[in-house]
Amino acid sequence: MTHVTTTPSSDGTPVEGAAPATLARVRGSRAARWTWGQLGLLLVLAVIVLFTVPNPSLAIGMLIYGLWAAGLNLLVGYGGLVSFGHALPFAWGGYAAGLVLLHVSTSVWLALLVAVASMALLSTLVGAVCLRRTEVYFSMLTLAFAQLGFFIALQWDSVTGGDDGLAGIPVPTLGLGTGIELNALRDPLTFFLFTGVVVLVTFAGLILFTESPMGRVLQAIRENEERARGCGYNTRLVQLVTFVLAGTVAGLAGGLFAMLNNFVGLQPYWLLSGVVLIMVILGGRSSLFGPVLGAVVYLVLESTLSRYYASWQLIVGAIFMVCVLAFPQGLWGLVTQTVPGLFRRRRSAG
Amino acid sequence: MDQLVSQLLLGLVSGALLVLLALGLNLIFGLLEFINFSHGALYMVGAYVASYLAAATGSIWLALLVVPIVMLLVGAGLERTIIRPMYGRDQVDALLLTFGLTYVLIEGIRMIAGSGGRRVRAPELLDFQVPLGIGRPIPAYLLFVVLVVALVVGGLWLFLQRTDVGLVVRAGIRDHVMIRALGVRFDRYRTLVFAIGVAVAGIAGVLTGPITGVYPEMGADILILAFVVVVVGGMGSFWGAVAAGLLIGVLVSLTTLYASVYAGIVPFVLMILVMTFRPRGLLGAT
Repeated sequence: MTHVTTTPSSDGTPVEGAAPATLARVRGSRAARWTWGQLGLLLVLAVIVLFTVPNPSLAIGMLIYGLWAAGLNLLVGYGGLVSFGHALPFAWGGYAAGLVLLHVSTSVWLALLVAVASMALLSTLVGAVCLRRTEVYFSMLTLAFAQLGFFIALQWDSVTGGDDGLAGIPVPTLGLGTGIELNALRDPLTFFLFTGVVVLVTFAGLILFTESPMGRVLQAIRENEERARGCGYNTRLVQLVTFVLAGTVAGLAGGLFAMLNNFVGLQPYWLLSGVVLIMVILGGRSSLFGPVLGAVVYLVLESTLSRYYASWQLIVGAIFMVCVLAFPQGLWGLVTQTVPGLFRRRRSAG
Repeated sequence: MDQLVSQLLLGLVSGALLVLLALGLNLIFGLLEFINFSHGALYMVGAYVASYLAAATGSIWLALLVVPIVMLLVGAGLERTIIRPMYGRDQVDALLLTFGLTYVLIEGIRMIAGSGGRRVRAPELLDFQVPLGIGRPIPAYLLFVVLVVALVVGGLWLFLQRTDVGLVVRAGIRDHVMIRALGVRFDRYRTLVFAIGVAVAGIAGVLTGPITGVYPEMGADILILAFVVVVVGGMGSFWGAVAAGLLIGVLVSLTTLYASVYAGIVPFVLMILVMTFRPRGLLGAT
């Protein structure tokens, strides 16, 4: 049992001494191959979901959870920072959008803008504290912040509704002179298409970030923070920007989720930190598309297993453990690693 | 005044239980270099084993002896089977693995024992109130809990400081590459330390039973508080964990008395303050 500081690579090539960019590629990031193609994959997946998932609220939920998980993967997969408190930005976004819709205006744009902007601000503050120390400290601190948020949401019932939550959030309108309403019950298709467009645009932004110089530095920090700092990068700042981005995306997802359910409360929102993390690991943390796939697979598992089997979470937990033990690259990582290999073998055989 | 004294004592009791969990987390982090996310779930498993033993024998005395041994074996088994493959890999993977284990343990217990909780009776021998001279009399069982925790903490400290095995463990926390180079079979020490950490969590579970009863989610909330204790006390610091555990127990208890709305928030505010002004923790070395 050797204990070297470098991580063994997936295909067994020695990685010590390689440049960070090469390391990322050896580790299975495959950034070069799947960059913008991921956007197409997401579109295909969304169309499949649209035509196969019978329950419209579940189908829209898949898009929202997928976006949330993809945002979290900026931290987990690209940054190596495992957040156990990603329910905090999701719930914050939900409450912010819900409060705007209830008390200020029924405009979708205003509600989402407030959710996103306030979450960016909050993320900066939370991130500044959580990133005082990285690695395990970061995980424990994010979890503690989520718990803190839960207590505040529970106790401050004049604003958050406490245990009852915010019920009866009005149906948001698209405005722009069209008078289109986003009613998930009466007109789920419009809601699905709107969510789909928002998710695709945000997803494209996420790809842009991971491909930007800063996104590259982020991956270099994951591989070796000291070396990245030695290259003159302000590693904390890069991590903070990522934290704010991931939080903002989660805030957006939370806002959409509030509109989908016309409700924000303690129950679904605050218990989801673990669920979204499972989605990321299940789908694969080496890409942005992986977590979206993970979210869809998780929700399919949930909606089918829970119908037949009360302890379905036992199965999900076991699948998750097997994933971490045997397939750390996740479902999508498994596909991208094995499928091209199959083609190559067939070509050389023929 | 009366209320203040009894509330202080209650805080001390809940703080003492936190200390047991935080010490296990700390020890495992020191030697195995990952945070055991399933610590709370294992504490819950210990409490459930104790509740069944107590139901069978009528008191928790036997459980207090048997549960640490059972949990020692469970811990050693877990380390040998699923945690060992994690050592060569990223720290994060072990964290995620034990996170998955938490789901399996909680759902497993739900399947076996049901979602509702179970009550555990305090031993009849301790079923009386101790007058303290000041304040209301306090149940003898609570004093017993503090006593057992003190014994366990003292025992752990002596084990680490005065035995040869403890010497290797402390050296391994400092520099395990050097320890291995000296020919120590380090794998065994890892198994031992993980098992001890789990056993100590099991003891905390046994002690909690008669106070709050046992239920599947009991580990989740206390785990988050134990994390806060570890961060506030300083990662890897033995007495830091003890001091921070007692401090947080007492602080929460006192806020419950004077401003109960804020009781849940206090530990996290303390943690944010510590992280902002003293990131290495109250008694942390680096």
